[in-house]
Amino acid sequence: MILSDGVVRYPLGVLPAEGVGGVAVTRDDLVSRARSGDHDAFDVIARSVTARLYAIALRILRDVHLAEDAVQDSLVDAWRDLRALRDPALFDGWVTRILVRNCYRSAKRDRSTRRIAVPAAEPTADVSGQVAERERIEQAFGRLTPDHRVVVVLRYYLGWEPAEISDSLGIAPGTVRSRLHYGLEALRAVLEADARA
Amino acid sequence: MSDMNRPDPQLERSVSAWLEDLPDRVPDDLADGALTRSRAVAQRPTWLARWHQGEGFWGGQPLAAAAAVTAAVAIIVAVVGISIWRTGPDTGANANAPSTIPLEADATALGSGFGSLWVGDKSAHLVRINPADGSVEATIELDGVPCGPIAPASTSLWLATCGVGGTTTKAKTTRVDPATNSIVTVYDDGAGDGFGASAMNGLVWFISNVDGGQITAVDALTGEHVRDLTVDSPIHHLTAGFGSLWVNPIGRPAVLRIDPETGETLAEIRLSGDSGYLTTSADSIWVAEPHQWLVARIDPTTDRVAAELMAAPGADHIALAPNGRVWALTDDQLFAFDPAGNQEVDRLAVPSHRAFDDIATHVLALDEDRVWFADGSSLERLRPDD
Repeated sequence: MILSDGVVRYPLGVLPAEGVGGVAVTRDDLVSRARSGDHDAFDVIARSVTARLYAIALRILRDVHLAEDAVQDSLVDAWRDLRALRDPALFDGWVTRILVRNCYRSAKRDRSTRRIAVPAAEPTADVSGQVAERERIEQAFGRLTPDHRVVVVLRYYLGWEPAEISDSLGIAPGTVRSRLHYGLEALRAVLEADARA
Repeated sequence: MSDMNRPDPQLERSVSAWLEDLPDRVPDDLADGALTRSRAVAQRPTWLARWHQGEGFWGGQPLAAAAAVTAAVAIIVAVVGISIWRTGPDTGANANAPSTIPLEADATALGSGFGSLWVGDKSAHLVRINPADGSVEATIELDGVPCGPIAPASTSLWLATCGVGGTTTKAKTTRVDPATNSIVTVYDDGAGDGFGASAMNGLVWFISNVDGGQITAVDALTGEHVRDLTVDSPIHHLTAGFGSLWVNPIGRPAVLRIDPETGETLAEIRLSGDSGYLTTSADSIWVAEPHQWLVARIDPTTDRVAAELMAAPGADHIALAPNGRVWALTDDQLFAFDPAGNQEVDRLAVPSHRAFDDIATHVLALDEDRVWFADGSSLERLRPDD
């Protein structure tokens, strides 16, 4: 962080949580500054969450361009509505919810996304059976509706509890459980069918 | 059938591992783009930001909310009272048209045609409503949930239906006879989930296979199959006009102009971003670009984009009014464009809606001089005189 003429500047992409120049700046401080209109502070926070948001969006939308759009829209939304955030410590969850809602809308708006696959994972030393299983999961996952993809990603990628998913998406907990159940059932059905073949 | 609550730890681990291993290299300029955009955006005041984030105007503070609502009601009553006193009661053609029409079930699709509003709902019904008084004229049972536009074409009404939950694998195209309020034909090819049916030269065209890029033509009067065309790309929206079919290729920011006899691509018109709904006006093809916040106007005489008009995030559902104006529904606003001047001529705030939630993607209808909007379990008349 550089202090000059009363204007605060932060090195881009660097979280100065450890403090610079003897001035301790926490992440919550940055969020608070951003909430007060300091866009430079928002720069730092936004860059720190971009990779995570993109990973989530890509898994839900399965299209790199839509995922980029969703992340960009979400960061703009976050900046615009940052004053709605009461507790700076909750920024990560808050911006993730904004992203999820944008992904949800994007997926609904463009059902073609379910047909466009993201690049396959790089083959590793994985045994062929595991590779085949992942390909089958990939295919089965691509057939899920956006409703189901969202909850599966939130549950099994982010590790959110159903109640948290329910709260974020604004849908009933029973609906979350139902969609999780359906999503897993659909995946299981494909895997079992392939195993029988 | 497995037990509803049966855990499957192995499957859950496999799914988690697969999700974890997906490659996700972040584009270098992703944050730059967002931050450039956000620098140009002003922060909303706290109360408005909280409203946009779903907390309500007063962030869950009931006393403040109650006081505000009371004050607002008092002001509205005063203003309306003065307005009536000064102008007298509305005695025009719209005097009796209701501003809100309750629905039996949440709307998933909305269209107008043959003098009526047509609402598809989550209960797999197509409800015919008289817009003049809000009465239900007919309820038609479908074998799926409407999941796209409801379009009049020739002497019939056409709509796409999906399976429960919007599963497009069971999508069908349904033809309804408005004279008898009955289903005439269901084109059950298992993939008819493209958007739009359009009539031209005695034929009605609809997308019958999205992934296969197949368009089907049926006789407008008899509904009999005439021909199939195959476009060399998955497609998902269609309109007809100026002797051609116009479709959106999935994955390419473009509109394709297709020869209705051969299926040959006559022109590829490049857009700024991915294309959305299409419609045809007297002298143009209109296409939404939801991710670019644009609505584009294509000149069919040059096969070029004549104008790209700025709307708002999510500008997708577009519809043509009888007076020639083009309306575009976005996440929270409704825009009207005047084709003559290529400019925005009206803008309405849309109630916080569920138009893009679940499978309700097409919920705007223009009926004579009224603008209708389906918001969950009610129809709202937004404007009586456009």
